[in-house]
Parts: sequence; structure tokens; C-alpha cells
Amino acid sequence: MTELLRRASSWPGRRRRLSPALDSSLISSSATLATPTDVSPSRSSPRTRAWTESALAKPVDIAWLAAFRVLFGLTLAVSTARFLAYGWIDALFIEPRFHFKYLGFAWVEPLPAPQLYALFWALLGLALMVAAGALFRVSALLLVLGFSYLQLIDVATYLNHYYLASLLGLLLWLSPAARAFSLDAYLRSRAETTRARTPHSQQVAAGVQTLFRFQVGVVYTFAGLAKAHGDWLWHAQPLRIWLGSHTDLPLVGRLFSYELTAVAMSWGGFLFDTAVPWLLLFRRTRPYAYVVLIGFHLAVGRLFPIGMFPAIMILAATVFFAPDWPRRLLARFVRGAPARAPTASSAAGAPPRVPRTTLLLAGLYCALQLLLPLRFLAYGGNVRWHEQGMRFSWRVMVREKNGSLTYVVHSPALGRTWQVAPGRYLTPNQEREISGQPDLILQLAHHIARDFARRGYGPVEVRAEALVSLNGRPSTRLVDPRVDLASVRDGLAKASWILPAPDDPPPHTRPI
Amino acid sequence: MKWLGYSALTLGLLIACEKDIPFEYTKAATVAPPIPTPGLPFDAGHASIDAQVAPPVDSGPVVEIPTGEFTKSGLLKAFADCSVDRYREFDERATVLRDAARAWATSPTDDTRAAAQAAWRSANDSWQVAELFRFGPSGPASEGGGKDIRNEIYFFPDINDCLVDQLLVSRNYTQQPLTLSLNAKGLGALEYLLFYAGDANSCSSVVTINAGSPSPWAKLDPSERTRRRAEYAAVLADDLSVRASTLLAAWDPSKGNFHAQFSGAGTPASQTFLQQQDAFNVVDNALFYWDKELKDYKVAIPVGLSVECTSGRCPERAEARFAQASNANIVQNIRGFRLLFQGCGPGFSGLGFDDYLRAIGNGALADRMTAAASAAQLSAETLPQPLDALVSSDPARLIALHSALKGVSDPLKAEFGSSLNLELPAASQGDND
Repeated sequence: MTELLRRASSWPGRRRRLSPALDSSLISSSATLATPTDVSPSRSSPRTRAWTESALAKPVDIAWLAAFRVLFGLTLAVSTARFLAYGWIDALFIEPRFHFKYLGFAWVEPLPAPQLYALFWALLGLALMVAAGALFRVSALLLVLGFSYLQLIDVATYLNHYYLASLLGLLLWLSPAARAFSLDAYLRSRAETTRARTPHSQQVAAGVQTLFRFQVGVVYTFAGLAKAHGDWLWHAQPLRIWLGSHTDLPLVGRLFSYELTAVAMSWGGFLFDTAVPWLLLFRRTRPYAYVVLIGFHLAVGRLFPIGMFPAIMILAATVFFAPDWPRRLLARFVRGAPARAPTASSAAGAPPRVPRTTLLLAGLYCALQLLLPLRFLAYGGNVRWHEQGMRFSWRVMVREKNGSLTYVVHSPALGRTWQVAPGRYLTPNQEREISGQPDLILQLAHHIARDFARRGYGPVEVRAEALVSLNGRPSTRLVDPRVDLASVRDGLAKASWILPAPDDPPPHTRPI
Repeated sequence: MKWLGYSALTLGLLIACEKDIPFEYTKAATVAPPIPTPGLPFDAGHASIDAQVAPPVDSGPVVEIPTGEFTKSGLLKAFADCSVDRYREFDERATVLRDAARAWATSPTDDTRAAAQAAWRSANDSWQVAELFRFGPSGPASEGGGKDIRNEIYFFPDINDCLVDQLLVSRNYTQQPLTLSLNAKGLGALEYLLFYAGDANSCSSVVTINAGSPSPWAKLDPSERTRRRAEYAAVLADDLSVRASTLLAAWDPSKGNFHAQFSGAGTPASQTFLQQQDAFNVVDNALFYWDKELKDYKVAIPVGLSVECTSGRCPERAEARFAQASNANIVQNIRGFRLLFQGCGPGFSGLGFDDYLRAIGNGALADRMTAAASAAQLSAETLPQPLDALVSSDPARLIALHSALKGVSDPLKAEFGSSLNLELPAASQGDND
């Protein structure tokens, strides 16, 4: 075992450029392996840009990335296996007769059932291959593509943590995550034993870790900021509602019925989300922050049906650890395992640099990750109500929304009017999702218009009676019932047919 | 510390952009919800919904909410008790129906037929209340404790009169063990057999019983048809009685004791419901009968509001039209809803979902839904003609009834579920976040 670990982790590795953006082979000169601690700015650096490039290119131990790859692959494998085990493939992808499309991805269609099942089995295998680092470049790419394809089939299946998994998978594929501690590395070491070992196989540019940290930090930060509103902080809603269904839990259930518990938990959640990435950045606070993080996610996972979300966040937060944390952990439990990565020679040369193109692409990625969650500002109003800017924004568990939706279809030619329940076209899962999401209401209105035309009723007008309760408030109209949705085009522009959010406070309910 | 300052600034800006932090909320004066009179049953202050409906009250963050002695386990026990009462009553009436149907089969006279019809009405009235109690053994097999027994008793809206006529010709209903499909048995098929005595059948001309000359149907003379109808009805009434007893036994504390499984939800006594919320969820799911079966199938389709009625008016889709029981069924369904929502005691007193809402501080919603259910009942009770006749003569009355029913189903689907964090079992596939 020890020998296997040693061989797998110490083979020099070929310096491929399959993923140029993040490959530490782009470090343009050999350099001393950085001390596996946090990257910190040097005040003495004369030029910020030069310092930034140097800091991002500085080689650090690759062990953190290998560990992340293993954990990520295993987590996605479990996630995929749950779909197979629980029959969700049928419920979410095969049974629906209508699928809600993402703007620009209307061409994405679900595969026939047998192929869809085969895809899930393939994804399960690919996730395990990623974990093992087997044919990593191919397996990681296919895993990301396959997982993303599944998410693109139906907007109603959108989940923040699936989106996060796709982003992390993409970053992982672009990184040299299989350079060490992988089957690829092990096989190459057997095949090319004569090749000289270099420390590069144990290194990765610090910028790679920075990018992962940025991505995870963005999730927490925006999830925290999404809670900075009156319902959450002042009225402790919807947490107050949610806790009310758990008051019979052993030990803690009674706590949930206290008036202040929901308030304390709401503030706790807000402060946790906004603070934890910063606390994880610093070595002194990191252990405490991570313990709190584990407790937080396990508790949330116990209380709410959020599936793999806690596991993904617990593993994702490891990117904040010192780069050599897996090696030190292994050294504690595996006799003979090296506690430190092999160090490179301190050969003199030009300081390591990251190519401008790589920096530019990484910068664009980061900018996109900042702009997407902030796009709600362009729409004004309450994003939890109109939902324009809701997805891809890490607004996790911030609203309780239920609604009653009925379409009123009118044929001017026939002079007839029908009331159409969305359940006529949707599965219960889809029906639950659509009732509070105006863009989905619009999509189904278009589909209904097409369906009626196909049935020979001619062009019809489709209006929606959508009564929605936000965080327990009395139902309020979400959509203007006078607007013929069949004539409204879907798009990114501010939707004038969505009515303003209720401005009254949510009811002051008390969990019992 | 610069980053800290920038973070605080960003946070401040975002909060300002959201514009919905209602700093003034805590200053708003609020009216305290009605406080139950000490010493009286919990519902005493608002039990008689027909007599009085408490005015809607504002709810705000500073009121002290009276919870009385409400407990969730108490409410679950009330649901369980009420279920046993419903099934005991139906079992008794199903037994009477069985005996009456046997008597008609033994001696097919107008008198015995009339007695069987009266027994059917009595059993049907009872069952229409219990239709709303479709949880536990009566409920879907996909839910906790579900055995789909309801479908064995009443398979509305999928009752197939033509299939019943085909069985009259083939007499396959005499086979033992009885293996009839669900849409040719139960109260629905019994209604057709007991109340329809016409010479024509419900099948189209292409169906086998109408093929040839003379057709197999035509070969049956009227007296033979009557004899077979009575014979078939007796078989179905026997089966119905067995199902009723099975359902009662499943709940009965001295037998299957699903009562303990349900009322003990969230405790070691219940293997079916690990949390009380799981039990509330299945009751919530049962209440959705109001939206789908009652509002849509019983009213919207016959009056032509639904696209499933292609001809514009569909009186033939009215429920129990041979017995002219459409209106009564709607009223009984509403009563069933109110037993669960308001309470199972006299005048809908006792524990119901309304008490749960009041206990968490959302009495306003309880009042609105109670008033809406009361209005819907009034609308149904005052229909001037049988529903299938109104479809043609006064559809506006039915459209008004539909609106009244929607007055309950809208909040049921929206803030009721939100307030109590209820989730329909069928809609909870997959993860969430």
C-alpha cells in the first residue's frame, strides 16, 4: 500500500498541455516548491501585477488537488447512484411529457429511456474513474458534459448544487488533478521507469487553488448575501416555517419550538455563509471554521431534503486547506507515507509566470461568477418573487413558495374558454416547481397555445391565474391575469407581466 | 482590514438594493387573534362555521399567540379517530346495502330494488364524506400505509358503464374468485346497476355486445337484463361489504390498528411515519381531492370549463347521474373536507387543521379557508337542479360553484402548504436546495 502510494504520488508525469488554462506545467521555469501554507501578499513587491502573476504561478503541493479529485469523483458517483436507486430517472426525465428549456438550449432533448439509464451508469463509472484518476482527461470531460447535459434537459430539475458540481467538474478537468495520486500516474510510472523524476509531478500552480477557493467562496458569499433581507433576518422566515415540521425530532426538536430559535438560526445561517470562506482562508481560524462548517452542513442535511449538497460543500471547503493537507493526514495513518512532497531543486531562473491568456480566461471566468449572481440588480424588485436572476446565483434555501396556478385559455374564433390545470401537462414534481417561477409559467403557456392549435382550436389566448404565497404570506397574484402569455416572448428582458411582490410582512408563525 | 470594509460596504449596498427590509414591521400595530374561551373545547369559539366566521385578523410579529392545548399528536389522533368513525359508519351501511342487494337478487321486484337503491344512497352518502380521507390503508400504495382500498370501493372518475354492460352479457361477474377490474365494481358500478333500467347500453356500436343481428345485448330480454343486473349488483355489494370491513379492520385499534401507526407518528410506536410531518403530508395529499376530483372532475368537466369536455357541455360526465346524486356527492365531499379541516365533532367542532393554523399564529388563513369552504357548501346545497341538468339550463350556477370551490383550493395549494410546510408525497421526488 505504502509503495503504491509512493509510486502513484511520485512519478514525474508528462507535461501535457491538454488543459492549458490551469496546468501548472505552464509555470515557465522550475522553481522551489512553495511552503505549503497560505499564499499571502508580499508588501515589498514593487508591482502588483508582477506580484499577482508570480503568486498565482508559485508552485505548491498538488496533494490538495488530488484529494479533491478523489472526493469529488466519489461524491458524484454516490449522487448518480442515488438517481438509479431511487427511481428518479423515471420521475425527473422520462415521465414528463413536457420539459422546460433553458434559454438558448431548447435543442437539448432527453434521450430515450434505455439510453438515459445507460448514461447514468456511464456517469457512475466515469465518476469513479475521475476519483481513481483513470484516463482522467477523458473521463473528467465526459463526466462534466454528461452531468451538464442532464441539467440542461429540464429547468424544473435545476438545483444549485448540481450547478456547482458542474462548475467544479469543469475546473477539475482543466486542472492537472491526475498528475499525482492517480491510476494514470501509477501506470505511467510503471511504463516509464527510466524517466527522471522531477518535483513537477508533485506541484501545481497556486493559482489553481486560488481559483477553486474563489469558486467555493463565491458560493458561500452569495448564499449569505441572499439572506440579507427582511424576511430572513427580521422575521426568520422561511426558517420558522421549516422548523415547525421538525419539532418532534429527538433531542433538538423541542428547541425548534422556541420563539428565538428560528431567529438565532436565521442569523447564524447568514453569518456562517458570509463569514466562513474568510475564516477558512486563515490558518488560525481554519480548523474551527471547518468544524463549524461540517456541523452546519450535517445539521442542514438532516433537517432538509437537500441530498448531496452537504457532502459537496464539505468536500469543496477542503480547497481552503493548506496544499499538503492530504499528505500530512496520510502520514499520520499510513506508516511510511511521506509527510512532505519531494522538493524541487532551488535552481535559479526566471520567476514562475502565468501566461496572459490563462490569466485572461481565468479572470473572465471569475468575472462571470460575480456578475451572474448580481444580475438581479438589473431587474429591481424582489428577486425571490419575480425570480429574474434567481438561478446560478447561489440563492440556496431562501424562500418557501407555493402557488395555485390555472391557465385560462380563450379561443376568439370559437368563443370558448377553458380552465387548464398545469397538471394536465406536468408531473407533480414539475407542477411544484412551476407554480412560483414566472419564466416556467410562460414556457408552459406557450406550450399550451401550441397544443391547442395542434388540436384544432386555432390560435388561442393563454392567461395565467397564478396565486403565490411567499414565505407563508397570503396568496398574491404573481402574473398579470390580463396579459396574453401566448403573445409574450421569453427572454432576458425585465418581465413587465410579472406583478410586484407583496410588500406586507410574512405572518409571524410559531413552530409548535 | 480593507477587505472587511469592502465586504461590509458590499453587504450594505446589496441590502439597500433589495429594498424590502421592513424596519417598520415591528412598529406596526396588530390585532390579537381570537383567544379560545377557557374551559371550552378548543374549537368552541369558532366551531359553528355556519353560524359565525371570525373576521380576518391581521397577524404581525409582536402578538402573543395563544396555542391552547393544541398538540400535533392530538390532531393526528383526532384524524385517526375521525377516520375510524367514517369507516365504521360506512361498514355498517355497506352491510345494509349488501343485504338489500341480495334481497333484490333473490326477488327482483320494484320494492326490493327501491330498498337497494335507498341502501346505496345511504352507503354512498357515507362514502362521499370518506372520499376526503384517502390516506392510510384507503390511500395510494405509494404513501405510508397505503393499500389503495379506496379504489376498490369507489373508482371515480374512471367508472366504465360500458364494461358493466359487457359483463352483464358475459356474466363473468359470477366467476370466483371475483377478478373484476376496478372500473366495473364498487359504488360506481352499483349505481349504474341499481338506477339505470333502460333498454339501451352504454357501449358504442362497434363493441361486441352490439355487433351482429340480433346483437348479444338484444338477445337479453328486459326481464333477464333486470335479473342479471340484480345478480351482478349482489355480487358487487358483497365485495363492497368485504372491502368496507377490511378497511375498518385495518384502522381498528383492536385489529390492524393503523390508528396507532398514524396517531403515533414520530414515535417508536409508528414504523410507518418516522416524523409527524410525514403523517400530516398524507392528510394534506388527501385534501387535494378537493382540487382534482371535486373541482375539476365533478364540476369543471361537465360544465365544459375543462378541455376534456370537447363538445362544450358534457352532462354525461356528471358523477352519479343515474341516481341523481351528483349534487349530494359534492356536498358530502365538502363535509368530508371540513371534518378534516375544522374538526370531526358536531358542527365541525373539535381538532382540525384550522386549530393547527391558529396554534402557529395563522388564524387569518384558518378563517379564510373556513369561510370559503362554508361558501362552497352553501353554493352546492342551493343548486336548484341536478348537476347534469344545470349544465344545460343554468351553467352559470355551476361556474359559480366552481369559483367557490376554487376559493378553497387556491389557498390550499398556496399558503396552507407553506404555513404548515406540507409537501405532497408525489411531488417530493429528488433532492432540493
